Amino acid sequence: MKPIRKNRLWLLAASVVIAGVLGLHSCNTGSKSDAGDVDHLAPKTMEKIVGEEVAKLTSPPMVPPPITRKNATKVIVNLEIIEKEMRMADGVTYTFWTYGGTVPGSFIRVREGDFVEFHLKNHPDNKLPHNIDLHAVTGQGGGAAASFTAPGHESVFSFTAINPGLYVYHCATAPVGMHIANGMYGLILIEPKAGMPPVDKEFYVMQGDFYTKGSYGESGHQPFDMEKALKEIPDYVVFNGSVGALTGDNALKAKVGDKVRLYVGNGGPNLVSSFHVIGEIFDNVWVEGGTTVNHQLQTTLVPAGGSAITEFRLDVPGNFILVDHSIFRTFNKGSLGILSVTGEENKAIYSGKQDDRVYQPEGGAIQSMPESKKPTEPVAKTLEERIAAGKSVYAANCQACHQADGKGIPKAFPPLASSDYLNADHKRAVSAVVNGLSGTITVNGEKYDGVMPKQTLSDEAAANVITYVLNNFGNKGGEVKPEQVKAARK
Amino acid sequence: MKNWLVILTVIAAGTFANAQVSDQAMMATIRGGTYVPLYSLDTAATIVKPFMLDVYPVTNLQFLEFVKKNESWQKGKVKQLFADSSYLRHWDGALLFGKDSVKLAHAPVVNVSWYAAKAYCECYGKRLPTVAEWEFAALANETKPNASADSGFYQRIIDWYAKPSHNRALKNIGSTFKNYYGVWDMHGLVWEWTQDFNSALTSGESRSDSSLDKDLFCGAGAVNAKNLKNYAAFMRYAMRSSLKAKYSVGNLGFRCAKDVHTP
Amino acid sequence: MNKIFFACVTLLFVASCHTKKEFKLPDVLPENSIYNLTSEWKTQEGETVQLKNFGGKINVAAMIFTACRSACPRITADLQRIDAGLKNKHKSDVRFLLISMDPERDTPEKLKKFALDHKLDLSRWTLLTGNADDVMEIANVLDVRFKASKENGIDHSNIIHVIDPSGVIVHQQVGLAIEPDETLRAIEKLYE
Repeated sequence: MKPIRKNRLWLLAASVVIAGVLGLHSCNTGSKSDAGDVDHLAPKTMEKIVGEEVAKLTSPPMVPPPITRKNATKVIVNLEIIEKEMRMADGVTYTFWTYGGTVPGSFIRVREGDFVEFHLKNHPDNKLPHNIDLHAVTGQGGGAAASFTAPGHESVFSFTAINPGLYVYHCATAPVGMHIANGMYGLILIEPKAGMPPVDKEFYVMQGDFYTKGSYGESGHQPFDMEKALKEIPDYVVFNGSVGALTGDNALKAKVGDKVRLYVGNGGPNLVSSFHVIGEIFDNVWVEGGTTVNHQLQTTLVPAGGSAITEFRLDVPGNFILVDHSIFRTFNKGSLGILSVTGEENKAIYSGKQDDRVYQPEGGAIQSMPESKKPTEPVAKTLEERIAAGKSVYAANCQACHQADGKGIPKAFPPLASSDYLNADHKRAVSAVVNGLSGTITVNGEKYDGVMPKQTLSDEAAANVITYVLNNFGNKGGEVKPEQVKAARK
Repeated sequence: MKNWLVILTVIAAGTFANAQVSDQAMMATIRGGTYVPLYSLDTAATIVKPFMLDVYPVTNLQFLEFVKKNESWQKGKVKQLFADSSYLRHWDGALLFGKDSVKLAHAPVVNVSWYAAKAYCECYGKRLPTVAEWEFAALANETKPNASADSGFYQRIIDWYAKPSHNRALKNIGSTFKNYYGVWDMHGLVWEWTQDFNSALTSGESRSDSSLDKDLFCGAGAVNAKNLKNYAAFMRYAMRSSLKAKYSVGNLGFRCAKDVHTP
Repeated sequence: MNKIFFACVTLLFVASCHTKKEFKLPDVLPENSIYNLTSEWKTQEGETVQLKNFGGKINVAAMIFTACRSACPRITADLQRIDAGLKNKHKSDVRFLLISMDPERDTPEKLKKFALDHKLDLSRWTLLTGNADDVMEIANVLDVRFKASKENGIDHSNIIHVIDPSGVIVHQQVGLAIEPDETLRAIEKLYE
């Protein structure tokens, strides 16, 4: 089999330009060889291709199994583009353009030296033409021109995976920004010949920023907002395509003692991610998805259109939180995931809280977030409507700390589920929401000493969310009215 | 006998009387003017001569009448050179819409190749509009011949482009909006074939192809308020450049145009 | 003795069969044959022809326009390289077609001048011009994209097509100054 590439050069002028670029390139390599780095720059020798197989692709957060083959083979990749409406957050939907029906797109895993025959299929119901630029491809446009496909058609092109690493792929059809902003990206791993070192768990996590007409949490179907995209002010910054894609039941799961590897990508389109796992230190990081391995890292940069492979051993149980450490994105725009680790405590490594004593400096102001303008919103007429409306308010404002199941995070964020503190005094709960709360409180026998910032919610929204909580998570029921919220405001 | 079939189908469709079917072939006169292509090596305006444009996109029912008269364009009979295997994929038979006939009758015909669209127009003494003509007519919103400054108008167009079209039957013609010239459905219903769609020279790789249409992509990079307009046009441009003349696509239809004659 | 004689005859028979491959236009055209087009064209001699008239031979075709300064002379040269690379015994089976994408300016006279300027062997090369509509149609059949550009130029894709005797495109060489090997192999294949 021979790779086929269609180079569409329409003008002689174009080939002159390209020849110019090549010339420049060879100048560069010439000067670099002084550094004794010649081997890196030598042309790659092709391995013999033995056999043929169809690549097994996986949806996030799963990763295809490691490649155990000792030889290069012909790998057929079938990837289907589907434009579809999906959940962005609770109560919020968005029309995503996807590779394989998910955001990020299907994970592709091949071995260094493999000859990849790529079949890109554009579903007949799709509105637009699409293509794919794989950063793993050495060749014009990364395959973009060769894979340009009208709805209801399929393009085939092929390439040899000559450079190992973790690479982003994305759509490069005009307008590129919009195609990427709608979710058209994913990861392809070119596994080195020797394979990746064995680990117990591998996961696929990819960040993306989204720009919607309505602001964060505003319910209903939200169209793409180009002005916001141009200004690079996203409403959502999320892992794996939606708020909560990696929390609650969707949390990544592992056990104490496991070695965990995260294949991390960033589709952008605009933001660079400061990827961090709260409570863990990365033992190994394949920096920017290349071959340099760094150790003992806290936070690693994942460029837009770039990647990183992070690896760590789990020594203690708990919920380890994946964040973009540009932290407002995490608490206000959705970039939060959880790695839930079960197993035995190791107090020598982490003790938990051992002492609690009074400390009173001068002053001690409560954290207050600036007021934002209140959205106009529907008014709930019945208890049921109030509970229903409160659900999305909860997801947008409370869930990051108190969790989808209301159980909170031990020692950090108190539970709202079956909460004695909450059920005992609704007024106190209302005040906590609208005025904030600081100082030690005891909930279900556990002491908490954090700060809850006051929430910038309307009377209606606050009433809805408190009523939602009171009627869920094993609480005792009840209703809070907007008037009560108004009265509680300080 | 053939007429009976048509009438029966019309009755089945219910809402339109036979007379209105011919109204669907009405044309509006677009007074000419200049149109600056959004991307072109030359910044010079293209002169668009006055022309006539169908008020509505061609419907399934109209296309059915055409293929009855022109057997070689029937589903199953059309030659591979002129249409791919998706040709009239949404019809059950050569002269049969099938179970969705009521919904299909007055919906725009899709899954037709450029050759078929061209043949249809020629059959009625018309032709496909050029890209310049189509784009010129499409500049108009409800009240103005040129709505380029209206960002709301372009946002509406983009919102439509952004949504997939999952329904077998599209909405009827005349269901979106009527523009300044009295032409319906220029945006929001179907993509449309143009005579010189193949003048879109990109390979769909929106960053290279710099040899041609440099401005297309440099323009995309420039941050200014006009980008909204460009984005809508980019998507039409990308769509056109992804097509081959024999392609039949599920949301691609057409309407015809005609010169204004002063013999 | 007998055996040797028999072997010789067989060899001769096989060899003659091989060189005497007969090409003809089939009675029923394949559906994807470009000879299904019924458009009429003028040659450099001013004769009216249909594409079907070129059937029954292998045709190597490209679209050009004579006012073109860079790409079209180049593509003509690429065609000449293909011609030069043909086996002598195949030369009589292979014809070359240049189709103008500029019907307004490319009159038969202009085509003739272009042919003479480029020293084309007009017994095996034909240049065609037609009306704008038919040019658009053939461009679409040949996957050629083009549009008018500055200073009366035309931007266009550069594609050389190998068309088999029944009118089916069996190979496309995309780009300029491409080594003719693959295209020559595609022509050879038609003899298998």
